[in-house]
Amino acid sequence: MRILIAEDEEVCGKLLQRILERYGECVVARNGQLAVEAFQEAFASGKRYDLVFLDIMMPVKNGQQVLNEIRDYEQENGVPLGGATKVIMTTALDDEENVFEAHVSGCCAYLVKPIDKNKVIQEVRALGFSV
Amino acid sequence: MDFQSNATLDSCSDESAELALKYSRVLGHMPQTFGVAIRGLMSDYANGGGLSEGTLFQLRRLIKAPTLLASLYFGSKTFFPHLFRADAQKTPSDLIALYDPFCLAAVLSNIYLYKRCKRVCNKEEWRFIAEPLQRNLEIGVRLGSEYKPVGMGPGLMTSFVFYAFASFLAHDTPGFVDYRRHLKRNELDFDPHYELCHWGCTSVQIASNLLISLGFGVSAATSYFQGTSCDVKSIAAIPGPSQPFALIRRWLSSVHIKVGSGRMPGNEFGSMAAEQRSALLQDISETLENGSKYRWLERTKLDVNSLDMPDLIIPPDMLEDVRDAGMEDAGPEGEPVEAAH
Repeated sequence: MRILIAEDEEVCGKLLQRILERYGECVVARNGQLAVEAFQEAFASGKRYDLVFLDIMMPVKNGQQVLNEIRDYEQENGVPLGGATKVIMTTALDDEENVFEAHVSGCCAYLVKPIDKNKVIQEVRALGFSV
Repeated sequence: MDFQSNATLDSCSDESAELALKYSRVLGHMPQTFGVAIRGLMSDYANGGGLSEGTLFQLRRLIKAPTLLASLYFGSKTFFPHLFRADAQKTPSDLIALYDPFCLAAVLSNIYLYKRCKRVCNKEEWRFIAEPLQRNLEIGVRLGSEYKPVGMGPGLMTSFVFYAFASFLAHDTPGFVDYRRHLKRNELDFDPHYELCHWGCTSVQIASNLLISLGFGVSAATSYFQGTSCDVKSIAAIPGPSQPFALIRRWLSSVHIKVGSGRMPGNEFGSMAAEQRSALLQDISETLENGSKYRWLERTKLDVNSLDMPDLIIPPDMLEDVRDAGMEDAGPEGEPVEAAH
């Protein structure tokens, strides 16, 4: 499994990486623009990410913009909707508009910070990954 | 994902059910928060009482999203116009209280599915779904509300077949274009035989799956399926809970064919007083001609302001969030633009 973690907070990024690295190869992007570039480069080289963790509040491009760009890119490149990369958003508690918008844009789940190992694994399993 | 077309399938086969499930998944994962709220609403509905504390807590969280609140406000104004006056202030919680739990579940599902389908569909083709969807839904609600044994709930669910159309469109744009032309040519609202031949399943099957995945439960989805797919001549033979869906479908067809061509429906609406029937048909004609009055499903967070919602007491923190978002979304001239979908 290939996992992209888009997270500008170093501690959160490292924590997610530590939880997930035993299940697959993890790459961390420190802002939204870098996340879009990493996603597109991996796609173009034939090594698509299976799972993306996307923080909503990020510099340069926020998680919502990144999600829209990922979905548009997939659509332009003929990825069927049912075969799109699974995206889990990470967010602060009082963020209902962003959570709603993220679901409308095609995120699969969201996690409320602080990051909790059991919840992360539970969400990943719920998406059909064997972790 | 493996999709196939098979002209020999029938809508009761396992293979067809499997395809319907795949098409419903084209629209993606249903939001957990919606699922919890809708399951709570359906449980409250089954218990026959008002909203439980747990359901209210979930609903109050959901309508903290300004986009959702905007659609709920304008939807409520569409369905209960007499309750909205500038001098009668309302809170977001008052909007929730206007509906019974089943109808509220249907309203929230419409808001989410409409916006989701708009996001995944080809924009040019989406309008061929969006316009009739909004018209049917509003006429369906008007018809259902007028006849108490049916109620507004089944009217609010007339849109679900259109969300199934959106999954056909998102998966197979040229196929959908042929289909909508076929429907127009033959003056049909949908054609299960055509759908089975081309996609291996029907829009009613997909819509029923959407209901289950949203949290309505198998029993409501089964009633919807039986009622919406039944032959109009067999209404009396289907179980009681399915009949409102069948009646709504029959009335809608009648309205489209007769009012749309300048004729008046006859006895379709049962024993309704002449004055009541006349007011109903007047409203329906206006909706058929002009479309949705408030375009409630198109509303976004940019509509949350005291000018457009003079009678709604908007929480101050929400107004601040919306103002910030409006600045971010402003075009080069400072004019707000519609949020990207």
